[in-house]
Parts: sequence; structure tokens; C-alpha cells
Amino acid sequence: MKLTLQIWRQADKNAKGAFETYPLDGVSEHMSFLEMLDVLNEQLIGQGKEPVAFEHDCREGICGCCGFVINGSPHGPMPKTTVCQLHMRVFKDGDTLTLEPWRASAFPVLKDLVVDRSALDRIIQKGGYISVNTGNPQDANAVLVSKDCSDKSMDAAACIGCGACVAACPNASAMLFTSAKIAHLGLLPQGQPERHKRAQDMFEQHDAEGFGPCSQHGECEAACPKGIKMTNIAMANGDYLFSQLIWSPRTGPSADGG
Amino acid sequence: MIDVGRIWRSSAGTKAVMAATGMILFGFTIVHMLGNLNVFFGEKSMNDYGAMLHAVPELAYFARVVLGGALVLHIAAMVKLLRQSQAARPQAYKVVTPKASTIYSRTMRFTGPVVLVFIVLHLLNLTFHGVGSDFLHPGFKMQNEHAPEAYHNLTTLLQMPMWGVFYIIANACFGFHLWHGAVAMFRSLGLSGERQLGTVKMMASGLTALVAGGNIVIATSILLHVVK
Repeated sequence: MKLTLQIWRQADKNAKGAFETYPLDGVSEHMSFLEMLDVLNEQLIGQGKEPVAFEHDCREGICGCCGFVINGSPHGPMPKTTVCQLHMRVFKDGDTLTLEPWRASAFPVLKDLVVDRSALDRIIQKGGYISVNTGNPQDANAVLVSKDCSDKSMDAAACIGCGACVAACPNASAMLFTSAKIAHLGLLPQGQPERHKRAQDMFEQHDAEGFGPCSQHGECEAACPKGIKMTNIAMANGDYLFSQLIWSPRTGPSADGG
Repeated sequence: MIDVGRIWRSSAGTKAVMAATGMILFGFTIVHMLGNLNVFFGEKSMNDYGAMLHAVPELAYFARVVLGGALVLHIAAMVKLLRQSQAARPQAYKVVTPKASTIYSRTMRFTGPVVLVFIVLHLLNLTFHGVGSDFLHPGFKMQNEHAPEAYHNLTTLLQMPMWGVFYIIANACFGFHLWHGAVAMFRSLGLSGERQLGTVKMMASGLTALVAGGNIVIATSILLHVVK
């Protein structure tokens, strides 16, 4: 396969980036997208040029590291597929592919296609946990969880935090990510004590990071490599409004440390 | 204690305000459209309906205050969210390939202002007749301020081609606006889970078609002199 790649090149966080065009020949259709970029980088290194920086780790579609926008689609054109699991057979010989990093003010570009996604970590720090007493683990069946809740919770827990929802959203909102984390814990009995405080704190951190509001376009759901549903957003909105209108949870650590 | 400022500052809270006010306004338009169907039942029917709405002036003013307030909050929420949205993505993509968003959802920020212009003109046309009357529809005199002549006012106005066509276009925009808004508002208020989503979509689309379609049918019938 012969391809033309238009790739966003940016030296560092403060540099001004621009697109550069690279022709690439001899691409096998069995390569993954990242392997194709590996081939490009080998060539660039051979020419004494700076290789294209992109984030990757497991290359199995489960770590959430990789991801950039290919021709306007985060993670490329295949539904429910991370870019490391995307294969070149999806594209045609002679295609021109435009590669851009996730675009959001909350995700500053570090280099080329790599963005800083630590804003998502800070949202998690605000409420993506449950507090339990330490000591011996209790019997696995002591807390009953209905099949319905366990299924929905596990579906929400499949989120790998890759940031494709933010990249796809016309408002650069991280509501799909945030709501998946809220729903994942809020649907389980273990998550109930902090359920509404969690929604309140995580939502407020979401806004503080500079993510946009949710307009219910549905682009996030379509781009998500793990099939996270927008119903999580409805649930998290409900939890948040409950915390504001009906029962206001305490914020911050309690005075007695408990 | 409900902290209104805190709710307003959060984007989810602002969205809830937008959704709740949208729901009030949508509810009003359903009643408004159904009431206007009286035009098909003749002059007396329409005029009686108009007089009925003004029977208790306090009630009419109460409704105006609620609806006006809802509209102002709806617009304020839009301005705030639009700014936040623009700040969240300072650099646009070179290539955008929409997958799930619809023409209805992507044009909300344009159909909204069209509907606002329509509302202002509509109020000047038929509620506050005196204001700008000579400029807006020269040669056309509205009858009686307290609306016993609702039929005459409505039919005369919409038989002017410019106004008839404008009302039809504005209501088509309104339909676009509702097609997305009526479903989205349930999600913004946390009212549509997986189980309710199908019902919400069906109900919202049905009511949208009813309101926008009904208004367009009324305006078209008058414009084409089906109703005289």
C-alpha cells in the first residue's frame, strides 16, 4: 500500500505546530496503525529527522494510552477500536490520512500527537474511589449486587480513559468519561455512601479542568473504543442534581478524620 | 440549603437550567398550538378562545412572567455554555467527520436565535400590537387590544405573504431546535436512563412533530386562504 500522511508536528508544549506531509510506500495491510507509524519513524530516523511522537503502551486496546484523530475520527474509522488495534486493511491504497492530536484546552499537546491527559487523573482523584474499612476482606457474597446493576457497572467500568470522548465532542467535554466513572461506582452498593458527593466533586473538577459542557450530540458514544453509553451521562446528571437540590453532601475531609 | 450560584457555575447545573426552562417553554408551545387549532373551527371559536385567555388578567400576566423568565434563563444558559464550549477547544480540527451528531443538534446555536427573533416579532405582531405596527405591517390595523378579534388579527397577518412565509420558516427552525432539545433535556435532567430512553425519544419526537407541524399547518392554511 502507498499512503500520504499529513501529520501534526509540534516540537513541544509551547511551540507552534503545523502539518507536515510524508509519503509512505510498502505498507502491509496486515500492519496495525501504530506499526505503520513505526515504519515511518524508522525511515525518518534513517534520514536523520525527528521521528513522530505518539503515545502507546500495551498495543492490545486495553491500556488507554494510544489515540489520535485520523481523518476527523478519534482512533480512526472502525467503531469500538483503539488506534493500536486498527489495521491498515481498513484503508485503501493511495489514501491520504490526516493525523491530529486530541484537541482540547484541557489536553495540552506535549509533542506531535502526544497530549497531556492528566486532567482525567485529577477528575478521578476527586471521587473515583470508594472508602472502606481496612482489615480482613469480607465474604465475597456478603454484599448482594443485582445482575442488572453489576452488568451496567461493568459496562461503565470498561472505560480506559483514552480521551477519545473529549476528542470527538464538538464542545471538548469529558462528560462521557466522568459519568462512566460516576456510574461505575454509583451503581454498586459499595459506592452508595459517597455517591452524590462523588458526582458533585467530579463534575466540579471536570469544569475546573476546562472541559466543555455536554450538548448531547452523541459523538462521544460513537467514538468510544469501549462502547461506553450516554445513559451514564443521564445517570451522573441525576446524581449531581440530587446532590445540589435534595441532599447536599459534605465536601472536603471531615473534621474527625473518619 | 440550595446553592443557586454553585449550580449555575457548574456546566451540568447550567445545562439543567437550560433543560428545565426548555421544558417549560416546550410545554407552553404544545398548549399554544392546540389552542390555535381553534382557527379551523371558525371565527367565533377562535375569538372565544382568545377572550378566555384574557378572562383573568392576573393569570395572563403570571404566565407572561414565568415564560419571559424561562426564556431569559434559557438564553443566559446558552451564552454561558457557548463561551465555555469555545474556550474548551481553542484550536479546531483540520478534518471533522461527524458520526452521531445530527443536523438538528449541530444547528441548535443557529435555530435558537432564529426562534428568538421570531418570538420578538410574533409578540410585536399579535400581543403588543401598537409597537412598531406601522413599520412591521404597514396598512394593517390590529383590532382591539384585549383580543376578542384574535381570528381577524391572525388571519390578516398570515395572509400577508411575507409574514406567512416567515412564520412557516421560523416554525421549521423551531422544529429543528426541538427535535434535538426535546430528547436532550431529559438527559440533562437525569430523567432518561436506558429503560426510558426509547419512550422519551418517541414522546419527544411525537410532540415536536405535533407542535412544529401543527403551527406550520395553521400558517400554511391561512396563507393559502384555506382558512379565510
